[in-house]
Amino acid sequence: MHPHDHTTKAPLVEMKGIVKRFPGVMALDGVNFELRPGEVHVLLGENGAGKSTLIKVLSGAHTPDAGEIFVGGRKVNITSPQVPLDMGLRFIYQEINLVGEIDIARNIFLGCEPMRLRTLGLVDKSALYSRAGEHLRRFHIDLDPRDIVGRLSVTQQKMVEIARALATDSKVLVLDEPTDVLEDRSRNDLFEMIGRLKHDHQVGFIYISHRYAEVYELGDRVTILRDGRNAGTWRIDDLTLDEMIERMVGGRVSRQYPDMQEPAENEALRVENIVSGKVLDGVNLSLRQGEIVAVTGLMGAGKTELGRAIAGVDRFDSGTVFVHGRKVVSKSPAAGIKNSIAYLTEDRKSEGLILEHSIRDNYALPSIGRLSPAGLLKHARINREVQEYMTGLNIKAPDMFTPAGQLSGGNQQKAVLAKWLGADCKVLIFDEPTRGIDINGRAEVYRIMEELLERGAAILMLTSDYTEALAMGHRVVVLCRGQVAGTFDRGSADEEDILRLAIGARADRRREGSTAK
Amino acid sequence: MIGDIRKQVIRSAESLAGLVAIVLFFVILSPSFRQWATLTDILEQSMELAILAAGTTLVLISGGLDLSVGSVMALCTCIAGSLLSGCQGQAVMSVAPAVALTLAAGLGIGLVNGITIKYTGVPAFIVTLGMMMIARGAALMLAAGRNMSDFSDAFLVLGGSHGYTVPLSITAAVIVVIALLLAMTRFGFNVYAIGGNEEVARLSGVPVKRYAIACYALGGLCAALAAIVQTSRFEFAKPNRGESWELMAIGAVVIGGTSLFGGSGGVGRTVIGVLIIKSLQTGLSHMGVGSYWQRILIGVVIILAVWIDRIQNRRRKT
Repeated sequence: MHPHDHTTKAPLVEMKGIVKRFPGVMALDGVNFELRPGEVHVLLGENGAGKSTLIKVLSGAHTPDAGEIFVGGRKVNITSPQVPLDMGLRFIYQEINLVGEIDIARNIFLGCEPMRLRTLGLVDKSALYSRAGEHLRRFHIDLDPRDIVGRLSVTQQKMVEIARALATDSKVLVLDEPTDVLEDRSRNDLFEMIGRLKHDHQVGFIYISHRYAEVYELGDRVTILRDGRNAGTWRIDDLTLDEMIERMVGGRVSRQYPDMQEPAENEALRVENIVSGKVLDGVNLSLRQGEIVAVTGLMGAGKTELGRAIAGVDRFDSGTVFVHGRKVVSKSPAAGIKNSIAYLTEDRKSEGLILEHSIRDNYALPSIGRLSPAGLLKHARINREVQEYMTGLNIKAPDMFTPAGQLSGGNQQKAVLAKWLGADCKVLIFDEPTRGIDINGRAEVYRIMEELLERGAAILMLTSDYTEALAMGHRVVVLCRGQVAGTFDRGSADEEDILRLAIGARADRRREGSTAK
Repeated sequence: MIGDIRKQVIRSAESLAGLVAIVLFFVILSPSFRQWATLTDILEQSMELAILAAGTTLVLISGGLDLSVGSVMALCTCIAGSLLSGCQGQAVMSVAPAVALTLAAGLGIGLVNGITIKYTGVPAFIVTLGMMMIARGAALMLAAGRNMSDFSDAFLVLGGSHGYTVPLSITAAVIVVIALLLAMTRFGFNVYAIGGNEEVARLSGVPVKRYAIACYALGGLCAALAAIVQTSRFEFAKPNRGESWELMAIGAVVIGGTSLFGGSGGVGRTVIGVLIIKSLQTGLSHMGVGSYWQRILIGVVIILAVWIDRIQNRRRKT
């Protein structure tokens, strides 16, 4: 099948003018997308651009606020996750979704086993295994249908999952970063299978990936989303890697950021050769007093893991942490705080605040030792400090006894900040400090960070927002697969430079990508 | 939780209103209930449950659950009984060390519960269910072939042989200590925090395991103390004591308005919950309602109390 044929066939899936609003965020703002038979259509975009929201609209996990969806030329109203399944759409997510304890054949036909004496509910075992065997051969998967799924390799499981998705003659397969769990050499097997399926069976693939080399290897067309809108759709050969990156990040309006003072000379934090499983592979970095170092990278690059390791939240295998020149070992968050390292989690609602408890009690949590000398609570002192921070940070709430869960996202984040300001740590690790916060809330968070610097703190800011990293960081450290891919000084880089390092490619990587193995 | 006295008072006032309504109901309907003796009766019979439930309150606020305390009471009864029986100098040891040993046993079992739950990851429900059977079995073993009575005067004082001032003071002391612990100390603050959200507390530097284990230990200590008071009051020990008391204690705690899921509540409310249960039992007895019906009605009251609490909470939020 020649790629040019795609344009002549009726689309398998068509999404027109899809709008999806979340409180305070326009996740999708009139997005169009189209998938034709026998093509691999790549969906690209930065974190938060709207890729997964679009897929969730198609899968029935989200109901769109506006827009139309056509499957096989017919308009459909996706009211539940069952609707797209009935229409022959299959979704394969990052995590393997099979029953590990039973064999391949039973997994493939789970819920639609061939039956003998239907009323008695007896499974026709010989039919089950012969049909599963045929099915595997059809897709050139060299496995015994009687193998227990839990004993297969991750790649084999992924292939079984795809085979299962296609057991019912599905015509559309949505793959969300399928290769993230695979090792490099086994990706080839998967790609070969995808290639056969699209040519021999005219299956259409929606393919989401952060790996740009794959995009050229596999894709026929690419649609790029930016801030919830279409940046455009191209044939893959019409777009160079540089153009692709430019369209993902380019032309964005600038936001309001405070002016930063120069940091002091003395070092607040130094991290040497941190290794943790497969996630962190020898990370080195340093941070001066009064400095913000922004750590950025793609999802899964190891940002959060790095922050949690430094603060003692998670254990790591080897490496050393120094705070103000003194070697510290933090085996728990409590020890981290004693060593003057605070970790402000990205997940405010389940890890940052006790939602049922008041702003006041949340505030006192990390500084309770200071606020209860000899074990006795100093209620008056706690109340006074909380009142000061609520005024100083402009936390909008009826009073300090308001449960944290009743605050807006921005005010919750300020409550978290108050909590850690009270703990008075020298090194603060902010994980995605402005995620889910509107523009005004962001500006306030940035202002508080600046204030912290003036009080002698040092901030390690973990962020997937490159614009934020460039604007707020005195330096920007880019992580890629658990290693520091590079460091930029303030003003010496733009979003494209970061993205290039983050994806582990140099400017000329495009050709290397498809040949290097 | 601690700081907002106003909300606490409102919540306690609601349970108190329930208690007053129940008492008034019986005062109007039952002539024999209308005596001072009835009031002292209710207080006497509430002592052991109040001590036990005070410990249960701590465990529930910390986000835990302890089903073993009823059996721990039975085991502690048998320990105290076997150490102290025979008043003519035949007792194994004198009162003070025997009581101390019994208390240590309760504390120790609580510690074992807590450490097992926090370090093996086996759910609290399972660990304390197992301990419930273990402690009951140990109690039966200890009691086999033993006559555990004939206690010395020095021990019987604890249960009220010289007036109920002594056991009532013990009860009041337990309640006051736990109330102060919860409201005034770092310990209490952190117990509310780990019950509210263990991960948030951990990330904020609270040594969550240590506090959770301490709550189970104190719960066990309360069970031992309840057993001592009861053994002394009844003047003999039996291994079937405390059967389903762990559930009665949980019932009293939730009637009082402490959350079953941790993070909120208080021991003062639990006392009201205990008094509601005991007033109901006493009042129904006065009206000639049998113990089977009493159980059924208390069951209904537990469900009703939590339901009303939910409705009130919803109203307060909107």
